Amino acid sequence: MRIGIDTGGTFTDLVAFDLTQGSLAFHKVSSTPDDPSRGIIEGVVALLERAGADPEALELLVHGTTVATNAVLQRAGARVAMITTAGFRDVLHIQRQDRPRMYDLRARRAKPLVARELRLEVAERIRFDGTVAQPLDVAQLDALVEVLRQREVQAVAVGLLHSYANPEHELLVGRVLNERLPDVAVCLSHELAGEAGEYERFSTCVMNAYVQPVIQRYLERLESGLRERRIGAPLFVMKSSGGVMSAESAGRRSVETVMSGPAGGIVAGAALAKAADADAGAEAGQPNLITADMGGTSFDVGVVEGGSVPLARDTEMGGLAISVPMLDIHSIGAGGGSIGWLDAGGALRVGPRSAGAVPGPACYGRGGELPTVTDANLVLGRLGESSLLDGGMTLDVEAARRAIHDHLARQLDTSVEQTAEGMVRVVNAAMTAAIRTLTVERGLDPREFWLCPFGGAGPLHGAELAAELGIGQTVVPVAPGVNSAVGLLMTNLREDRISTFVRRISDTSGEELERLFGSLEEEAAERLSRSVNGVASSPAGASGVRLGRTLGQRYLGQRYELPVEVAAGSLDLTAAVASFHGEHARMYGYAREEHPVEVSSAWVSAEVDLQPLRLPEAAPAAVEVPAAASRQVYFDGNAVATPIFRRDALGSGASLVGPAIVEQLDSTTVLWPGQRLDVDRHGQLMIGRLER
Amino acid sequence: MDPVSLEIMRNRCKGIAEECCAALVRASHSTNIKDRRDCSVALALPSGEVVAQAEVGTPLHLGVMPGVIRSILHHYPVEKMRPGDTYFTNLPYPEGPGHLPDLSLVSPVFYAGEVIALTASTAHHVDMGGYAPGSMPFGVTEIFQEGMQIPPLPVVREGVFDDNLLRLIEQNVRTDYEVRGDLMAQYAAAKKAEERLQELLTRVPAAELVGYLQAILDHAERCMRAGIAELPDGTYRFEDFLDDDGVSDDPVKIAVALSVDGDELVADFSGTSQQVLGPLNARITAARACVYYACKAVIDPDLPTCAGSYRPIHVHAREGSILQATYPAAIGQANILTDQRVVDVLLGALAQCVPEKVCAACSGQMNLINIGGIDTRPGATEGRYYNYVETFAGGQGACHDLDGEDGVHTHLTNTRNAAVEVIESTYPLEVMRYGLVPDTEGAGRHRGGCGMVRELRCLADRTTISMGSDRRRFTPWGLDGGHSAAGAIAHVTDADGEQRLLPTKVVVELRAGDVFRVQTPGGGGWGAPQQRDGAALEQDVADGLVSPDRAHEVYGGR
Repeated sequence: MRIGIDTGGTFTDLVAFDLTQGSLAFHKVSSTPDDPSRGIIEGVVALLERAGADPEALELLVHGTTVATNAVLQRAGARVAMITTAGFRDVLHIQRQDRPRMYDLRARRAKPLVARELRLEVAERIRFDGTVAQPLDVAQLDALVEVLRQREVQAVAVGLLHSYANPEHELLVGRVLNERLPDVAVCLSHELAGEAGEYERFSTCVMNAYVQPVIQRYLERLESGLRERRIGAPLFVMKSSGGVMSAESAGRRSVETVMSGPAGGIVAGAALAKAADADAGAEAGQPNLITADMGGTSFDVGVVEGGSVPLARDTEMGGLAISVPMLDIHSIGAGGGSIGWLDAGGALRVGPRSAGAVPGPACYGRGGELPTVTDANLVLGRLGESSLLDGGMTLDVEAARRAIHDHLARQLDTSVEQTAEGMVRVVNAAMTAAIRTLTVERGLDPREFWLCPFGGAGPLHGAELAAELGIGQTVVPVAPGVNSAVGLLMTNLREDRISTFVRRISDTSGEELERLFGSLEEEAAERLSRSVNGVASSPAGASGVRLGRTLGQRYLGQRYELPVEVAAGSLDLTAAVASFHGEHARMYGYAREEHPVEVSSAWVSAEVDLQPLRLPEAAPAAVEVPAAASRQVYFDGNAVATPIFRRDALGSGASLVGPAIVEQLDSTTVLWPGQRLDVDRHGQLMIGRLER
Repeated sequence: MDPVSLEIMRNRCKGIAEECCAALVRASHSTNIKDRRDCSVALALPSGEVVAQAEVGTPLHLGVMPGVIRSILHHYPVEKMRPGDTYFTNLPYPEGPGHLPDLSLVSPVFYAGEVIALTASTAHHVDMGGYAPGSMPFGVTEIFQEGMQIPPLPVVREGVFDDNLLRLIEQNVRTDYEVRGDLMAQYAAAKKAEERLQELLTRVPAAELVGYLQAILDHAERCMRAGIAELPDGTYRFEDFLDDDGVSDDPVKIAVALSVDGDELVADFSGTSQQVLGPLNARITAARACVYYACKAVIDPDLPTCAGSYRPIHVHAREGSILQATYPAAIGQANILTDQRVVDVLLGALAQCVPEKVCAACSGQMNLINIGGIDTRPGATEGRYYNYVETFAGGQGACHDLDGEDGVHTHLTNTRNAAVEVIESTYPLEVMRYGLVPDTEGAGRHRGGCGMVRELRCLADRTTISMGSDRRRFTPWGLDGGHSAAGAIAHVTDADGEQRLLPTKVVVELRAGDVFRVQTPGGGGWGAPQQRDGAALEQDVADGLVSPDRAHEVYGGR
């Protein structure tokens, strides 16, 4: 048995997959934010007991964690110092010299994770071409070691100029620190991010130093807690890139886990797209898919294209740059808790302010008085009074109506239902814009995608989002509320290595690039082997390393490159350049074939297959699916008597025509009038186009 | 127009502008655009009224966009435009972009044979020829010396670039290898906007779309009027001085009388200096951009930015004054120095009615550096003209309850820096130091931000540096008892260690081995320094941003 564990702010979601029987089991426990490992261990033990399984039968644990995210956002990381090139200790402070909000006199940049007093300088210089201009002053370094000792720092980030071109000075500092301060974690910028651009590289390195001791301690506690329960299965951690790494690696390259939380959901989407391909046979080909994870306060979008998820390299967390490969996830503050309000010009706005879990939407009856999206859905009948947690939580419709009337409908002089529909449309517009950011702004046409809405609130809005974007097919996963945990069991061990390598194509030889790719592949394989060692003895065992190569190219003079995949083995530069011209024309509307092209980076990805989870078959549907109940639901201003179905009553092969509502433990799906729903063989809801 | 559809359409138009601006940045060639993002994009009605803008580059670009489009339309009314056309100009007279390096493109979007919208972009090109690299030199008194003037002209006719015109431009600029690439990137933005709008038109009927665009303007006007109405009625005056115009030593006065009357606002700059010989002159288009910026910053940073929000705002300046100069007065540095000072003056006036909404004076200039010459390093770029342009951030003025940020771009510019690792690999320059300068903050209960220093060593002989700086004499002021900040300083130290002070406004030629050091002003403080929180002061001292002596003498610390 394998277990995927996704810890969120409110709940820890667990999914158990039994390899031999091919069955899935779900479990939700309250999170224990003071020490997340407590909730996890409790959940794992409960799942084992329910399955009647012995702890030894557990072969693999995969964990999606927000510990690194929270450490950064809540400034609860380690006491960190930095050693950098003399003259440049303020790079971290100045960032890129711009301000976060152009017209806001009160907006400030995020403060660096290392105070200026602990950003120490050492005399040394390496040039951009890797030659040494000034040897490192070792005596000065010795003095810095004493400062670090006195200040009792827990971690040191070493960031020197041009270390991507020649790391010898960073390595030297690393050796001295490891020797003299064996208990202090040491991070070198070139090992964490191999590219030019000092602020982004230093920031990545510092963030790693800041979260590493926290993650390391957390994972050690989790592992020892599991061992106490006789659970010895290897523990893997989801990375921001959608691959997993061993807990030991996560404890060293912790910055790679900052998007560990939402990554699972997108991986699940990618797996879903692949499965759909297999199901459709040769007929349709692999669908491209947009994942839309809508919870209480945030909306996370991801894009799956050609079965894989594009990786972004320059992102940020809490206003600080990170330059490691991350799934391209776009988050906005829109969710069930988003509050509706009127601006000075009388326009209806929704969010980004959220009522959160406390006081929560007005209908929760926990003291919230402001109208939220959840209140709007309740007023419209799309959520029922007892939809949440299988009736474990009752919603107050009158409170929802009152909130919408008092704060919005009265001023707009419209009905409560009309206003509620307006709120839903406005929040849908914000979510649509977020989806467009990741699609149309990248030159992708959402009409060629499927939509995969999940999270507690996603399936409530999925049909309208799809209609607004012109998407023809929506697929609601089996367990939308725990979809991210499912995704944790659907991925592989993965390592990425990127290197800056700038050279005109005309001055570059295939052999030279071949050597560069070769050395990056060696590094990646070495990192993988450390993780694989942990599972070599387990039945999860690794089966072969899969390598991928990407060559970044650009027109001479450009900064931004376009990535082109290249095959392993002898490199065909002519073909790679031709692909680049084509890609440029697609992205920007023109190619300049007469203009020189240069290579700018080499990127290697290496994966080891963990035999990821495949969705089991669902039981076939009964001949006729009975509705469990019926209620009035508003669609486009009209109240329509709408049947309510239980999700577990919809076996494979079942089909419905809207209007209909499908309810399950942690999510509600809305089917609009005339819209068709078919249940596929895995039990997923395949919803057709909404014509409006 | 229902409020929901309005909000949706407003976001969609802004999204299109932002997407197009991102394409411009990503496809561009010069460091100034690809790294520093000195560019902007707007969508407008065929009348020229701006509907949506990408809030990326600089508020100044955005604020002058209406004037740019009017100038194109004056010569090429929409009736004369054909599908696939694109027009461009860099000419600030009678109205247009702020200075010659800012090249603006305007393209029509056609639907059913008619122009349904216009797209416009402005990008700061590295060079437009003229007396010194960067085309914003001091030591000149006429626009003819600053660089090549491009009046409104078609650059693309029915999808075909005018290659003759491009060759003429390339011949006249120093970095000919970059200008076409950047122009193509601007064209990419226009193509993208056209594509997106036409996509939109397959789903929304044209007449309905036009109705929405009009409604967006009306909504923005209502927002701005509601905001102005909240300001106390009255007339608020403020003045400040630029140190000099680079020709004489006379200070240059910028004065405003700002009147709030109900939901309308008038900024009257009649008390401002006559135009000057040096390139500090501007056109009123730029002064309007300053007033729009200040209103949005003070009233609500989230106010929609479009022509509608400008309707209740009126700006006056005398013909022949420095804010409405007469052709062919030199104009290159107005963006960098004059306009930034206009904003300080506007905030000084607004401090009298809504002190909690403003900040003390910021660095008050953009500290523009152009460094150009022939690259002598062996390799692919040997013998080629290079031109490095960057504006250096300074300290931000403190708010009544917040410290100012250190080393940050303020007000009319928000361009990024050029990375040290990029400068060194691209130009024959070595960066010796890049950081904050202690004791440059305006002391206060809340302190202003510290200024910044960049030290560059020239690796090639005959390196020309063209610098536009200010606030050496008239340093950034504080408010409510807060102190002024340290002003701007620049030095050159030659290989023998001989140091000389440079004027703030200068073109100078350096040799290999010379080190050029620029220090930017800090930001003004707020409130008496003696009232500063003890822990905050202690941290400043520990961080080395305030020296122990200064903590003792100015703040009265232990």
